Order: sequence, then structure tokens, then C-alpha cells
Amino acid sequence: MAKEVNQSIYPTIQLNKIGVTPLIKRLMISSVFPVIIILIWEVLSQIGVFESYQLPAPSAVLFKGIALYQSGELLPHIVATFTRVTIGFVFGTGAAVILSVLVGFWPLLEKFIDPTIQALRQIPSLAWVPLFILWMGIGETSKVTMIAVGVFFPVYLNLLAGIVTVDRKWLEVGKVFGLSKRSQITKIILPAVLPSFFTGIRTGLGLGFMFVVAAELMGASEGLGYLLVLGQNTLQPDTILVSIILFAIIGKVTDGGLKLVEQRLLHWQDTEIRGRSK
Amino acid sequence: MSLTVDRLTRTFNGMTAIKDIDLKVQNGEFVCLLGKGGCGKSTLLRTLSGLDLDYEGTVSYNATPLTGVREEIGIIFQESRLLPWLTVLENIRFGLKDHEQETLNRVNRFIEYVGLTGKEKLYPKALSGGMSQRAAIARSLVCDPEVLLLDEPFSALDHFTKLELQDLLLKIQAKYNTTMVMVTHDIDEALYLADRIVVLSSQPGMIKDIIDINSPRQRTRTSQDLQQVKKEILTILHV
Ligand SMILES: Nc1ncnc2c1ncn2[C@@H]1O[C@H](COP(=O)(O)OP(=O)(O)O)[C@@H](O)[C@H]1O
Ligand SMILES: [Mg+2]
Repeated sequence: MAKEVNQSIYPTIQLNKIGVTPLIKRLMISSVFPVIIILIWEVLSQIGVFESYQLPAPSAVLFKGIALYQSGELLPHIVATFTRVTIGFVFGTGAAVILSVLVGFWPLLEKFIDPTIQALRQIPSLAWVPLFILWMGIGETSKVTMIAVGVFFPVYLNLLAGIVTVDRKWLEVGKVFGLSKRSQITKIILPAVLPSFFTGIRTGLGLGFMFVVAAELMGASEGLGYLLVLGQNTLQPDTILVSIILFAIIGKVTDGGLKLVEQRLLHWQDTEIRGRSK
Repeated sequence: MSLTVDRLTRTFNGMTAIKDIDLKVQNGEFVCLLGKGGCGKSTLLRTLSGLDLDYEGTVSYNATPLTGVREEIGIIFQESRLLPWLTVLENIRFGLKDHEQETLNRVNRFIEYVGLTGKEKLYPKALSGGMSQRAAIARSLVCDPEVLLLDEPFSALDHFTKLELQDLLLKIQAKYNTTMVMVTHDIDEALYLADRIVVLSSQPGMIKDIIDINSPRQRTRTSQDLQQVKKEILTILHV
């Protein structure tokens, strides 16, 4: 019997020989480019090409970050932003799952509800901001609601698309083996839809971070978005950069977490690209 | 077991795919449906399986009209249709309702029977086409079907794998007396396996001829008699 060999179409760099794990190897390769950029930036700042009141040196940003951390200011900002995103993400995802399942399984509801959601989707979500603030004030509720709205749409759209396009091939397998309607859902539709669900929540999380910035710019007394406003008002570009870099790190780490869960659950997928650095 | 088709016609949006098919499949028989691509072989097989019920005419299983899929009728498609998120073992026991020890033993017996021992924990993505089709066959067999419908099950496989799996089907039939209805466009395959070859014409698919192969089992693929029948079939198909 012919044996199929999955051969990678990507060239691999032979770092294994010096005994590093694939993860570290990937990290090393992917950090080459940013390290070079930072070095050039540092040099240009030091020789005075960039004015420090406009673009401070990377080292200055780092020291600012350390100072903010040591004064105890930084952590509460991180926690505030992270908490908002988490709560908004949970609510947005929850609502999206419930609605897309209802709409996906009951054609009548699809005709009834989906057009409205598709229409609402056309509104740039940030346009809701004034209305939410009017309704709920500048407190946590309006912020979390905004984030939830941002998370909702990608999750809803991806999951619904996944549900309604489950390949007839798999549904027929369920039929042939006499699955009940319920087993059909748990044993076939659910696993078949999981890839779209992960696409949805990873996009949703990204939007969640976008919306937390918008919400915190609008008015907040803590959070990384507040730090951006503070930096702007006090003419401290280093504070702004600390916040931006923290957004990048938190965004990357949380997405990495989701990606890890995704890989665990979807290891059966026959895709060559998955699992490579992205 | 008897499977009877009476004046079966299937139309897709005004286009007649198969027309006036009359066919009676006997218990333990191996029937091959032979015809050119697009002549309606899959359409006919799907109505026999109970997956497609939008036809005119009647399809009866043991003299009662078919109203949907039944566990006595297994179907194997051109692609194995193993569920990619289940291992080989999980796929093979997919159609079984209970997980009693006895059932598991049965599953293991069939894994060994189709030659997949040691592959139980693999996911479908790691299987070759031949192994996937072996798993699909095992998945049907554990449900103890009386009839196995096969839709070009080996057409995507390399020649040698195909020959091996053809022999596997004969072995299964000899052991379990499973009735087989197999769609193919490969004349040699039909000649090697079938007790009866049903030749279909194209557009619409109608039965053009039914050829009984009286040659005993354990056929030689290259035998003179079979070559003679092959010529006959080629003439019928006008190629
Ligand atoms: N679900 C369908 N909808 C519309 N037309 C179909 C469908 N299934 C099959 N057909 C048509 O019926 C004819 C026979 O198809 P099929 O049974 O798949 O042929 P074969 O299996 O012999 O290659 C073809 O012309 C095909 O286009
Ligand atoms: Mg076909």
C-alpha cells in the first residue's frame, strides 16, 4: 500500500543541531527583524535624528515602563483594561453563540432575525459609542457593552457561516448510521463548526482590544487607553509608547493562548500551515 | 433479503437523470452498475440507500417500500468520508450505539479483518487512500449490513491497492454472504467481481443490458472468457 509522506513545502532552518526546541527556534527567528528595527531606532535616537519629545529612544521607553511599574501605577491599568476586554469578550461571544445557533438551526429564525443583524453589521461599531454613553454613562457598563458589540459580530458571522455550510458529506454519514437529531448536532455539526468558531473568537478578541482603546479614550480614569490620553495631555510620548507596547504584548499573548487551545482541539485538521508561526 | 426497483425515474429540475429502471437484486448477489461518467450511477445508488427519496417509481427492501436509510443497508462512497475529528477506532465504531465489551471486541475483530491493526489511534489525515477506504469498509461492516452499496469505492486508488481491496470485498462476501451493489466505470473491475453487470446508457440513464457472468469465483483477471465479455460490453457502450 502506498504510504503518503507529508512533506513540508517550507524550508527549515537547521537549528535543531544545536539543541533548541522548535518553539524557541521560532521565537528566535521571528525576533530577528524587530531587534534590528529597535537597534536602528536606538542609534538614530542617540545621535539625535529623532527629537526625544517626539520619539524617545527605546531605552527611554523601557525605563519609563520600569518606572511606572515600580511606582505601582502600571499594574492597575493593565488589570483594568484586561478585565474589561475579558468581560466584554465573554458576553459578546456568549450572545453570538446563542444567536448564531438559533439562527443556524431554525430557518424561520434565520429569515426573521438574520437580515436585521446583517443590517446592523453595516454600522461601523464605533458609531454606537455616543448612544451607549448616553444610555449608560461613562461607567464600566458602557465600556464593556461596546467591547461586547465589537466581539459579537465576527463570532456571530463566522459561527453562522460554519453552521449553515457544514458539508453535506458529513451530515450524510450521520444519516447513514442512523444518528438522532441530537447526536447529529453533537457528533457532527459541533466538531465540524469548531474551526469557524475559533476563527471568529480570534478575530473577535482582536476587535475587543480595538474597542477597549476606543472606550478608554472616550473617558476613563484607569486602563491602558487612559494612559494614552494621559501621555498625550502631559506631552509624554514615552508613556504613550509604553501603553502601545503593552497593548501589543497583551494582544499577542491572549491570541497565543487562544491559538494554543485551538491547536489542541483542532489537531485533527489536515492543514499544513496551522501550527507554524503566524 | 431482497432489493427491488420498479420503474424508477429521478429528475433534477426537469432533467431526467435516470429513467424507468427495473432491477431485482438477489440475496448474496454481487451486482455491478456500469456506465459512463454522469449517466446516473450515483443517483441510482443513492435512491437504493434511502438517502434520496425524491423519485418516481418504487424501491422496496424485503417487499416494503424504502422510507429512509436503514441499518441493514450500508453505503460506501468514493471518498471514505471518515470523520476527520475521530481516530480510526472511533470512526469504525461510529455506527454502534453501545460500547459494551462485546461490541468493542467486534470492532477490533473488524479492524484486524480489514488490515488496520496498529492504526487505531491515527487520525484520517494520516491515512493513505487505501487505508481510509479499508476503515470505511470496516465502519460499515461492524453494523452487520445485509446489503453493501458501493459508489466507485476504489476509483481514486492506485492500481495495486485497488486489486487488494477488490479481493477484500470478495473475501467479505464469501464470509458474510453480504449482498453487494457496486457502481463502477471500470469494466475489468466489474468483470472480476460481479455475478451480474447492469450496463447503463447515458442521458437519461436507462438499463441497456444486463449481463450474467457465470464464471465461478476465484477468477483470473486475464481469462479469455472475461475478455470476450469485455468486448461485448464495449460494443454495447459503443466505444
Ligand atoms: N443533486 C443534483 N442536482 C442536480 N443534478 C444532479 C444532482 N445529482 C446528480 N445530478 C445530475 O444527474 C446526472 C447523473 O449524475 P450521477 O448520478 O452523479 O452520475 P454518475 O455517478 O454516473 O457519474 C448528471 O447529469 C448530474 O449532473
Ligand atoms: Mg458518481
